[in-house]
Amino acid sequence: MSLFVSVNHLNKCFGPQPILRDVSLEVPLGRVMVIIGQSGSGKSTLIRCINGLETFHGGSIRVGEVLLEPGRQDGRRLRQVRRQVGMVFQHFNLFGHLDAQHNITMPLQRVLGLGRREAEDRAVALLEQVGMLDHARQYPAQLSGGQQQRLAIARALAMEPRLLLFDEPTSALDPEMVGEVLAVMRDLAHSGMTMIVVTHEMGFARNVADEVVFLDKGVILEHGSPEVMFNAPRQPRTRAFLSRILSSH
Amino acid sequence: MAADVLQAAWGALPYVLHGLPYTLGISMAGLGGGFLLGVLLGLAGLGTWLWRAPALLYVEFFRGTPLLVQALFLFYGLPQFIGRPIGPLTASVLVIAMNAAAYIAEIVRGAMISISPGQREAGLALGLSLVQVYLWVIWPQAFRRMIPGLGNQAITSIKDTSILSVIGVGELVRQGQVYIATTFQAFEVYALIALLYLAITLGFSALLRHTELRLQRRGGL
Repeated sequence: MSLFVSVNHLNKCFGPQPILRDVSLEVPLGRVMVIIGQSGSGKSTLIRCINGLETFHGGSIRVGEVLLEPGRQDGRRLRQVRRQVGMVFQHFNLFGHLDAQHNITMPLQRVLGLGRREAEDRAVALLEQVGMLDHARQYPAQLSGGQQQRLAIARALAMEPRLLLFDEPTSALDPEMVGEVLAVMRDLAHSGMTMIVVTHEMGFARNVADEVVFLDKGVILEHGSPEVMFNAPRQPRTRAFLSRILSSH
Repeated sequence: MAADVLQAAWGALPYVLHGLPYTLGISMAGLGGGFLLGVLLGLAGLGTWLWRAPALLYVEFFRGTPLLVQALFLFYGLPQFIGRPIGPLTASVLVIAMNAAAYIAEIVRGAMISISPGQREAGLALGLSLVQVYLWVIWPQAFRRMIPGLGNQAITSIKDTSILSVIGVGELVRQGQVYIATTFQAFEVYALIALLYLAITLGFSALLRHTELRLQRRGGL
């Protein structure tokens, strides 16, 4: 089982405020890691460091063969990382001026240099995979939140990433649409996709994750299999967080 | 009385209309140049201080001084300094372009920063370079938001060409002035000129609305 991502002693601050403190984690290929923790604990910042959307101040991140170091990243290296890593955002961030199909084909043509036909074929296959083929000609503003997020997942998948990052993918959705997005994510996990997921969906964490990480004030307080983390967390703060979030659902 | 006015205006029309190609030509050339320069300035306004400072200076200068003074300076003032004349047409197109560019720069900058940062992040995360993100993600969306502002500026610039009568360009107003000098029909001729400007700007507004509707129908935003 080969390691795909390793984060080593990562440190990051915004001004004097530390956001991540000495964070280390490893994700082997084909595994699903779920990161949980309160708002403001640094979860999103952590995964945004992995594809270089955020810089960091100490430690290092290895993605595949590429090593990211503190400070401003070399553009070529960033592109190498982003070729291998897809990201799904809380607010979807679909391209508003392009219809569903072109949201997928544009990056295929511009980044991977695919021809129009080839890009279209791939887009159609992915739209079908996420159940969006009927909406290929619709613009993001014409789609529901759940449909937008499924499209965003298809767009990320089209680039054939080796790792997918999910930044609270269901937090901006109406409750009745959470299920359809989680279903797509569950299928992906079962197909062997390597995933790091920041979420408040504890059901997903319990059923799909290989490893659950609890981040508290920028520190990994505890991590382990879902069984251990949900049934027998050692840290009182983990227990408090879980009982709070589980009782509110 | 009313019949006399109409007749006088009708009589002036052919002479005044000689100015129309100048008014339209200077407007179009000036706005074309102003758009190119404005886009460059607007983009510079998004950059680091090294880019932003000169763009800001330019915008403040051309927004903060009267167009009339700019035209007089360019046509009468600058030739004294550089030692050779600047043709009235060249000066006209230049002054309209440079003036419009200052306003267009702000329209461009405002539209670009109104596009959510999430669009940029999504583009980068997919592996697009920053230049590609600007070209294929931000610009197309920002451009739609620029259309009302650009339309406004186009109408302003079309009307601004009337000021160029002071540097002797035979546009609508200048033609009218010359005609009035021999016929003394100021009432009729200026009313006619006002209506001609109105016809141009109303036509332009209609074209603009049509374009916006078409873009809207094509989806999104």
